[in-house]
Amino acid sequence: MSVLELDALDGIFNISVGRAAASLSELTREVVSMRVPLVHILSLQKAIDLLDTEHKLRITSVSQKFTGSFSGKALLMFTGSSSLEVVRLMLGLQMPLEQLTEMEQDAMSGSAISSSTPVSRPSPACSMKASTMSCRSFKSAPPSNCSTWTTITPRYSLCKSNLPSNNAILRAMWPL
Amino acid sequence: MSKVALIVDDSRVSRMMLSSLILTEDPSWQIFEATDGAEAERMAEQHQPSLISLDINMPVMDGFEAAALLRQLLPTATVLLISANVQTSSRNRAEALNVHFLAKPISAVVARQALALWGSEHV
Repeated sequence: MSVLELDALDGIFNISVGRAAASLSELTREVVSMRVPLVHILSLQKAIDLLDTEHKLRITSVSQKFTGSFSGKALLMFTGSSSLEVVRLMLGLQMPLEQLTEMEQDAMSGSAISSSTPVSRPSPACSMKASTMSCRSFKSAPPSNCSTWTTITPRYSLCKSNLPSNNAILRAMWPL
Repeated sequence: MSKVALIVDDSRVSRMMLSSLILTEDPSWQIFEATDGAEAERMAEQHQPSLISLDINMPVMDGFEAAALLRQLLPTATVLLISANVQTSSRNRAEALNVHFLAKPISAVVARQALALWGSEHV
């Protein structure tokens, strides 16, 4: 990929992240600091190493597929504790952890809807629409109540929870 | 007032796009480019632009710092912050610095808005 092509990609991601940051800032009433973006083109394993050097982090990810003139999947990732902090800020309340985690699924999915405003260019053919969205947890071993367990690498798997209540899903992510 | 513009952005694609869009609107503009706030200050002294567009997130010196410096250096120039950082806090900081704020992505609309703002301040 040429320097100019990387620069263009960098610009697109910067705009997307900028809009996400603006939404997050509005929801949490906090200023989100943004640095100069840097595009990495990585294998999945390298991406995991970059996110979690010691392979110990529990990451909450809200994923959202988009389709249009190009398609893909956007992932908004937080560490478990940071995602709870987002919920706390959104609600502006002091709440017990257990009560808070029950609301996390709703809060995180909702913030993903508003934060992942797709980049749209003037041509209507280039507009994108968000489709399915799911909450996933990256862990080293499957929780017992995980309905679908997909192994990405020997150390990382995706847990798809199709459980009836939000509470059950959250317990799968962060056993209390 | 001379039609001299200075485009300050660390992204070459953004500089190329804005430059080309301004020239499409009005080919009589003379356009200079800088990649960060510090370089912008040097170029502003040298070329005395009447229109300056600044990105916010840049290495060396960010757009806010550069806007404050350039406002003092060229008090009559139209200064615009054009950024992907569209948070209310950024817009408020732009207002406090007495400079305009436009949201990326850079498009023909943004270029026209930039020239209209320049036109309203340089009748």
